[in-house]
Amino acid sequence: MVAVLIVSARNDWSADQVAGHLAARGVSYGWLDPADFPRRLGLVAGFDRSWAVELTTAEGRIDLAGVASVFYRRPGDFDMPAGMSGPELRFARAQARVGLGGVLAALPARWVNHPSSLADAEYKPRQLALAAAAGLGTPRTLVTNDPAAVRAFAGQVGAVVVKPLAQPIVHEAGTYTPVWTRLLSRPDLDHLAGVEVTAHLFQEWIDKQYEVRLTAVGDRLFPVAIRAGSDAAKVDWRSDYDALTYEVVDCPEEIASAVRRYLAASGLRYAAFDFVVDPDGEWIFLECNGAGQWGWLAEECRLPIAEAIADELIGAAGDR
Amino acid sequence: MSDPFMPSFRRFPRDLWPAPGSDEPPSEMRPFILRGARLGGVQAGHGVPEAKHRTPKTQTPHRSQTTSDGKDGPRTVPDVHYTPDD
Repeated sequence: MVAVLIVSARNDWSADQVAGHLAARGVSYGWLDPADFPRRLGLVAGFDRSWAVELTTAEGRIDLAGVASVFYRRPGDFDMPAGMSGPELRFARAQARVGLGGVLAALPARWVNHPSSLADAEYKPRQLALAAAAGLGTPRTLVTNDPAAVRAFAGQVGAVVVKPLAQPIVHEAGTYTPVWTRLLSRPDLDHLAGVEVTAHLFQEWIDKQYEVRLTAVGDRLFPVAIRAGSDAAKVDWRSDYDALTYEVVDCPEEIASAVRRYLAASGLRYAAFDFVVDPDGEWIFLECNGAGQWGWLAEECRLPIAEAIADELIGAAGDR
Repeated sequence: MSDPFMPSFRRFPRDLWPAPGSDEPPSEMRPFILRGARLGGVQAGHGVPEAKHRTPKTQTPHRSQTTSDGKDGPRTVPDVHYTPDD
């Protein structure tokens, strides 16, 4: 039996770091990559008042009866056998999703994080509401498909950015188009064609001293200032990693308390929070990513984030 | 028909983004936010820009068949696209 189940792709650097800390502390863990299912992963799950789940991988069998915690990170997609028609393939994927995903989701374990909580956490409008309820400062925001509402909003708040609501990439024209946060210009406001075709998120521009990526693991917080050295990175630091510098900073206690309230309300045990620190030193919440990246900051600033995640997982195992 | 409001990206397993390799060019109905987004800002197969790790990259590759019917052929090769760590 294993005490911790890691659900992620085989080549996941971050999960591998956590696994190393689990192993160093003598905690047994199993690694499940859904990309092995069904061709290289066998599933036998029986229900009699509770689920008994056994997985068979190339490395052997994983009995999930003793799993006290699950580290759910970046699972690969199923690798379905060739030969099915397109409709059959889609049906088979749905079967796998609800079958394997369902028995995993039913595990009475501590999840870091549960996929349902992660899914709920996707909604940026909900993130803003949770943040405000938790006591965090938030930027004035407009979600609309009405160009007139955008102009009125800009007249009210001044400079405005437009941000992607969902995944920031488009696969098109045989290539990939990344979509970054963009500061609207005067010509943009005069010509808002395309707003009407779908929902858009507009937000007041907050002047920045710097931004903060605050990685939260249970009660432990790892705040890192991110300073941008290019015009592009000053608007969206993800667009120009080469222009960034990092520094561990102190987190104001009221922000730490609010972040913990946010985590409790959202059911997340791990999350990456993004803040703007304005010229007055106020921390303004931008967004929260329940599956945000942390590895590069752990390396840049020598932060024990992998250890903290292992602690969070082991804490549940120790409670058993 | 799928539920249009159901968040899906994080649900098990992580949903793939729209299938890679679409040759469709931008349309005249392009959403406003995509205005100015650099077409081809990322080369196919290389994923979106990411933080530089001193250790191997953290992006997750997804291999999929290039045939639309999902069947292998003698010249079928896996197509790879990446979901970023964000």
